[in-house]
Amino acid sequence: MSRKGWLIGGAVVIVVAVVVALIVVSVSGGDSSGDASSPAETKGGTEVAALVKGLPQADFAIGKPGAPVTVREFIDPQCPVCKAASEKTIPGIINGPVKDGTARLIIEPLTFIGSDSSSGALAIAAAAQQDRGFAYTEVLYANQGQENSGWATDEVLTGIAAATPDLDVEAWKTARTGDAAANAVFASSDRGTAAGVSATPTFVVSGPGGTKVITGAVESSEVNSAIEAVS
Amino acid sequence: MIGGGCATVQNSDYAQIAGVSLSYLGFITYAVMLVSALLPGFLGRLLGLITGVGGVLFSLWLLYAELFLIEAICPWCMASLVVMILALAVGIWRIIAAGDLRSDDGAPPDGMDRAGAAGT
Repeated sequence: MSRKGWLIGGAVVIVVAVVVALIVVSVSGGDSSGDASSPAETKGGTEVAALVKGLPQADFAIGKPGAPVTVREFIDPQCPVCKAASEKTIPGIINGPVKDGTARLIIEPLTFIGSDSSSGALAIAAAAQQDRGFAYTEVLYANQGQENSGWATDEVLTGIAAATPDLDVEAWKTARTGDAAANAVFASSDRGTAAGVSATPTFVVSGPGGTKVITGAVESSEVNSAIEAVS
Repeated sequence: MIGGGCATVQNSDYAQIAGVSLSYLGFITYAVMLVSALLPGFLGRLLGLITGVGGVLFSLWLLYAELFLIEAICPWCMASLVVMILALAVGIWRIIAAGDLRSDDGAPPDGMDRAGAAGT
């Protein structure tokens, strides 16, 4: 073989060896980083505790039970825009009309994105049995993973339960697999269909003055104006 | 779910090697390929061939990882695999067309076959 032929052969062998080494490092590195990332730190517990402090919570709702206006927020646990709404829209509604008794906010979990949506929605419904549906939802959004990546594992959802203020984790675990949680999620889905919800988040604001529907992670002032308009 | 597949792949444990994002490795590989295409002579051809070989092999590993380990397909990675295969084909063609595999004594093109057999 020519000298260049030998050079080519040698270079190709070296490159193949380098690629194999990279793959080996990738596989072993993948294992160790998987171990490190699995007991993920749960975020948002403190913030949500401050948000809900002193407000009446019941089932999926937060706010005075007799409030003239009801805001139903249709969400999917996986939807990134719902996470954005949780950060941008919700605090202004809670600290405004919910706190002053004008409105009550009710979480309506839908499950259209994928299997992580279903496990997330059931986890919310289980927390709702302890009147912590809203609080659990907000902590969940602080820990949301990539859509359909399988992020909503038992471990992550339990971590969220533990970080949710005033939630009995053991009772929540039992409730998660029960029929009541599933039926609550089905009921939300039915209400979503009835209201013509085709995207999340959708805020359905209803009061004595009628109903207004707002979609997206809007400014909280937009929802608050709607609350004022129908109250 | 095109975007979803890529997000899943990019967030998987396989998207990094020892903390280095594969995007950087890919970028460097394509940059070396560009340099190899501009370099005249045997060095350019050799660089083009080995980046093609390395790129195709690594992309095939990623295809395997996406299909069987991550269980999500990112179309952009697949596009990159196709580009790598084309680049390898060009790299091989450059080597053959330039006669790098022929014997040094300047034998005619059929000497290529002889060179393959006459290893000693």
